[in-house]
Amino acid sequence: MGRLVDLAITMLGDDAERGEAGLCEPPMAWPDLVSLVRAQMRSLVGPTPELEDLTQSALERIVRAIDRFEGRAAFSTYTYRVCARQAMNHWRWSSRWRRWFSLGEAPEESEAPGHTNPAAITLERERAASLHRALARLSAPKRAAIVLCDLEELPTARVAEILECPEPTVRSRLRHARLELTSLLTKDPCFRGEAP
Amino acid sequence: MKPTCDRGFDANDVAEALREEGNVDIPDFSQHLETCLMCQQNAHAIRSARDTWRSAALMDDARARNASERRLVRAWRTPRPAFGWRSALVGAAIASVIMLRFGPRWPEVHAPTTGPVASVTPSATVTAPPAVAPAPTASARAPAFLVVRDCAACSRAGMAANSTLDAPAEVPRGASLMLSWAVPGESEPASSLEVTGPARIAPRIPREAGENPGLQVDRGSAEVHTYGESEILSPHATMHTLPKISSAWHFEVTPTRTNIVVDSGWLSVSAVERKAPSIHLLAGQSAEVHAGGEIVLSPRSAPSSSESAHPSPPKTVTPPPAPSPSASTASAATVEEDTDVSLWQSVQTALHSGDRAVAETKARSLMLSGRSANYREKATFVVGELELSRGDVAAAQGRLTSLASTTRDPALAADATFLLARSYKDPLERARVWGRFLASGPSSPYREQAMLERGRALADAGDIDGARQIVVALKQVNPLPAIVARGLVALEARTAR
Repeated sequence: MGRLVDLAITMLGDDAERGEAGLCEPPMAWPDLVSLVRAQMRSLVGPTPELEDLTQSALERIVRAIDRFEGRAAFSTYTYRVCARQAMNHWRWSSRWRRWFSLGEAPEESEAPGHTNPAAITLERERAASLHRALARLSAPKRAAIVLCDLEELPTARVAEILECPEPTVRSRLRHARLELTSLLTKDPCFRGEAP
Repeated sequence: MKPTCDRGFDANDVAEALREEGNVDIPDFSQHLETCLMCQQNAHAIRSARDTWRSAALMDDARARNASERRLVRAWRTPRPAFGWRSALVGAAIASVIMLRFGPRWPEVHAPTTGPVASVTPSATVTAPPAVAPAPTASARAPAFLVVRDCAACSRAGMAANSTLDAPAEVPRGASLMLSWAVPGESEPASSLEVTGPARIAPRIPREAGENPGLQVDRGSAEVHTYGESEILSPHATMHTLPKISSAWHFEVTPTRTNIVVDSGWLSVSAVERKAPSIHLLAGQSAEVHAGGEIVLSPRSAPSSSESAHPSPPKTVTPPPAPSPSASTASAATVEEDTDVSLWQSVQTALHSGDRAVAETKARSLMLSGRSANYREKATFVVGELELSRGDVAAAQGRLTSLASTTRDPALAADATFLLARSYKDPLERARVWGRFLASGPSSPYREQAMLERGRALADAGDIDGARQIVVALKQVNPLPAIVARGLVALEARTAR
């Protein structure tokens, strides 16, 4: 997080430089804004390797477009919309890119504290990777809807506000996304355990 | 072909029923779910996906905390001597002469440490303090439990704060007793065990030096936070944690079983009755250990032990030498008879009738053994409210802080934060509570109300500039909720003076 704040300040300059460049101030302190945007982006893409880059891009967009924020919605909703648009663009782009290229194996992440059982850690990573693979097969609008509604458990009305579409549209996308995702997950050994 | 079951339910219907929304008749669907394999698979896939998503987020949080601690440690620079090596040699020679001259007068300096408690030995050399003070390790614990916080009922029962628990004790009904492992000179700050009455507890003093003291809870419920190796026992189960691991869990002991829910970290659970293999539970997982030695894992989550590596993890872990065959129907019969809904209704009824003791007992039961996270969180909030109402502020603050930061329900998070902020007399502390709420994502629909509350607290604390900034930020929000708009006028008037 500290690195993100440093990066944002390096890229966008300090308060005086932003003032000289004609950039408006966000209505909250920098660390709070970075924290909010990272949390919102993580709620969309999960703790994936591209989370930091996407947060950085979203922060840049928010600051550059802050003067166009009209205050018709809460500022947090505005930032969430920017994050959602950024994440959906990234998914569209990455799905095209991955048809032709591959990044190879992801680097091994350091162990999280509290998890000492190697089998449990491996299983958790496998499940997370399987879930992300399954989500990557959904279209960007469907993926955004199911992630926000079912995984982040936000109310449908709030998701409609974030995705800037009517609530019935969200429900329709959600329905198709659920059918596709469960059909993928029930075939996956990591998620095909004994039903409760 | 449309993937629906024989009743016409598809994955979307299952997901809507799990969220308790849509047109699905929930009681009817719950009955159907017990028999329909396809719906069970869909429900399992949806729940597992959600659990995996949450678990990944929790691990990310833990990694972030870890990284922050590493940054703190890195920020500490090892002090380097500013003087030359000749001065160091002269200093060392003087120190040696002093030690040789006066050494025999301090025999205790060279006396070997005996027993499990390490004595503090004066050191001749000055070492740099660590950047982050390490938590006392289990090896530094003394073989005793200290009462950290008592209540009036506990004091009457002979368990006052700072006293040592060295014999079996009865915690009275409605009482709340917080214990911790004793370390030289104080209680261990990183570990605590809060027992809620009625309960019967007994310390298990170690027979060998270096062994950790354990605590036996024969009846009642308790919440445990430990750093390091610890052992808690019930008549049915042994709960064990490893060194250098932070874990938190709560459990309830009834005459027939022990219900265990792990809140964070890692816990090894084994049955007392038979020599069965122990199971490992991670955060969010739970288990019931029955009097016969049977361990029933909660259907909410799969086990995190080696058993979970199988494609179809067994829900019931039964040791091989079973004197009487235990069928899965038997374990189903012992499952909690009261459902979450009926327990929640009984909590509400008791609250409406003014019977706070019954309401708290039911709410605690739901908090500890509820199957739905929503109901467990609601029950936690009620317990926090009741604790505040009877003056147990510290316990309520801990509970509400945890609830406000972990719940996914924005309304409940806002309510918990509101109650938590009200529990502090210091306005600056209230402002900090609201600040934490505002900094936590994802954003809440109650953000503007929270900003207003923070502004009021800052104004109370005399930070008029801070309050004014909030007024400016709130005035830019359009449309502003009516209740916030009214409060904003008053706050603006205060900051304008």
